Amino acid sequence: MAVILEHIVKARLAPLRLTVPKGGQCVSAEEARDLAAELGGSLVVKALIPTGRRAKGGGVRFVESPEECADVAGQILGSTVNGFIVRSVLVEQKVDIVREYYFSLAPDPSARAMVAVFTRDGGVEVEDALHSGEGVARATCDADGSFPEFRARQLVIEADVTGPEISLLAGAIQDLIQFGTSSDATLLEINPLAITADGSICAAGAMLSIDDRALSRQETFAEGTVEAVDLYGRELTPLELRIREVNAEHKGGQHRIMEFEDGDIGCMISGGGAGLVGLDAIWRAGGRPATAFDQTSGQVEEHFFHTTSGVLELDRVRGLIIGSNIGAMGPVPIRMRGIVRALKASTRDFTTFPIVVRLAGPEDDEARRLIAEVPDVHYFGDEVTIEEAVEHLITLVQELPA
Amino acid sequence: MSILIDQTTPVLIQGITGWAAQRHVRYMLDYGTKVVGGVTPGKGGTIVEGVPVFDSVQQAVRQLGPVGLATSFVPPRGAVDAAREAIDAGIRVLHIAAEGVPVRDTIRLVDAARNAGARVIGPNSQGIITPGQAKVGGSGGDRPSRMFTPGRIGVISRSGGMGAETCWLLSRNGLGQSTYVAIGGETISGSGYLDIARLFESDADTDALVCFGEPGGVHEEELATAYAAGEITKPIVAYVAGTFMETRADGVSFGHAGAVVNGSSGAPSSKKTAMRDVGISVADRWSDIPTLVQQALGVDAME
Repeated sequence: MAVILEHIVKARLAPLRLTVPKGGQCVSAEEARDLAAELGGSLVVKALIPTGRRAKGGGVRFVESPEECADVAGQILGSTVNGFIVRSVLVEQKVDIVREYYFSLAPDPSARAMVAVFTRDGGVEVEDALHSGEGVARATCDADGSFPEFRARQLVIEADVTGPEISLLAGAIQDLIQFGTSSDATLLEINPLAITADGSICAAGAMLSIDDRALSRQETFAEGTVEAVDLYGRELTPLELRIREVNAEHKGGQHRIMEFEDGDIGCMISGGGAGLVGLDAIWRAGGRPATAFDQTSGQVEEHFFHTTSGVLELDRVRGLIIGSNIGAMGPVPIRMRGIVRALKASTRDFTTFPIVVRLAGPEDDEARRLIAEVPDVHYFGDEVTIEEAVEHLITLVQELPA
Repeated sequence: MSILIDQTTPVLIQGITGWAAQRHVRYMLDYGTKVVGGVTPGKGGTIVEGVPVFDSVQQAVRQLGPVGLATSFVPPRGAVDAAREAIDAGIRVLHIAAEGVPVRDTIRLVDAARNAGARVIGPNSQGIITPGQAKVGGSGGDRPSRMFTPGRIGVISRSGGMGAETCWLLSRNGLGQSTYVAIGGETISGSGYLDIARLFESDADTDALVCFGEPGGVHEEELATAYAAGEITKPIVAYVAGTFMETRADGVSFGHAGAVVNGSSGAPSSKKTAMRDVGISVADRWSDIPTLVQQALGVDAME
């Protein structure tokens, strides 16, 4: 998922049958002060970060004057909210809200279609509403993304909306569904979808993430896109950044590594499912994973060199498991050459830093010969399961002198 | 018998002249798959590994007669169009290997298949294999016998790698497979666990089902509901990966696109509970799957 920052989303929502608060992006306290003076009145300052629940994390503040706006923007800018360093803020007019609804649109695995959710109680209440199901209505969109206005009316009526707001909401929802579908949204969330004092409907809060696989046809979003960061829910670590750079340098099987600050067992087990099984096995055996790993199809020696080196260089790591499915299609020696180079270059002593490798698959005889060049590495082919290899490593680590 | 494919199923390969396809055509033929033709627009009249290539699916079907299954190596950009071409030409079982098909395109394909009464396996499916008979896609690579053995266990997985590894685990414990189906790890899949479980339920040569589960989606929950309702009566043994990831922050996705967990919905623990509550056997340790299968079959035989 690629997350689109809120100011870009709101600019894109502006032509729809709803309003968006007047405002803009600011990167400094001075900019925030100037914009606040221009907008006038009560304002809201929001951290522009690719994640939700910003209010709870201290990333949303209300201010009454340009000076206060500069002050608050200065506090938020550079601070860390929900794991992200705030590099810019959204300064906008405070919406005079009479009533708060909630709207979302996302692909639904059960319906195998886009499903819209509308709730009578929005804003901070929405999680309770979604949990209880009270005043919550759902509708499945047609496969081509179309959604007739009468169905939008049915949706809001089902959530107990009455009176003139029915048509007002239906128009906005029809437009939002059209927008979300044509944007390849994996999530479009408007919260609150507010009725204002002057009787208009306003997207007071907006979140959008779009399908990574559709980015090439969504180039109009390029400027506001924060790629893939929501997978981590925080800033990337130096190792994660290094792997990202190596990916950009060398085409083919792209590596993904994710660090866990509190872990001490390096995990480089690839295959989406196998990686999860490996992490579970580490956890169950009493270890704490320091990394999770995955790769797209295709084997690149250089990627394995950098990922292995990077994990070996993490100070807190006390042991490393490298592995993959037997069914992984690529020849094992390509991977093994990168791994062996990294192990040979490492200053670690593998008698006190256990390494277990479980790589079976095409040409694994050659791989076995390659890894034998590195002393003290525990190598397994398909004589053990991934779990058994992991359990072996954890035992070796636990037997180390403290 | 088996499900979806056996040695008599005429198979058409879409995108047959691509790099990965050419490699796997050889493996499929070697395994015994009845590959009758291939399609690549503009390459009609050529031959790949002895297989005739056509410019369109329609042309292929006219020449070859009925095709039982179309397997597609067409890249993501053209995968959905190619699948619709196969449906249009009357093919009713489609296997799609492409990884990276946008969700919006998959939704349209699923709708078109539904309207035509066609079954889609994928996208991003590693393959389908009926051990000892036939296979499509990449499952097993050049040495399928290393992992797959003929038998009476139906295996379903999103992950191609762990599904094949699960078959390997079963095989080394003397439990062969009737058919293995990798449904693909996408947010939206053409076929879910339940769709495949229904096929295994009515397959006379399948005694029990093994499912490799993952975080996110509703496959395991749907299966549990159908099992509770008596729609699926054969014993099921399941494993759900992702317990460790569940201890981390909300919304963490690692592994597959479909593995996004929203709050507690789709979490491994809730999937395990949903299945255990209705009597499905759930392995906490993946390596214990064969023992649980043997137990399930033993109990079943006594009843």
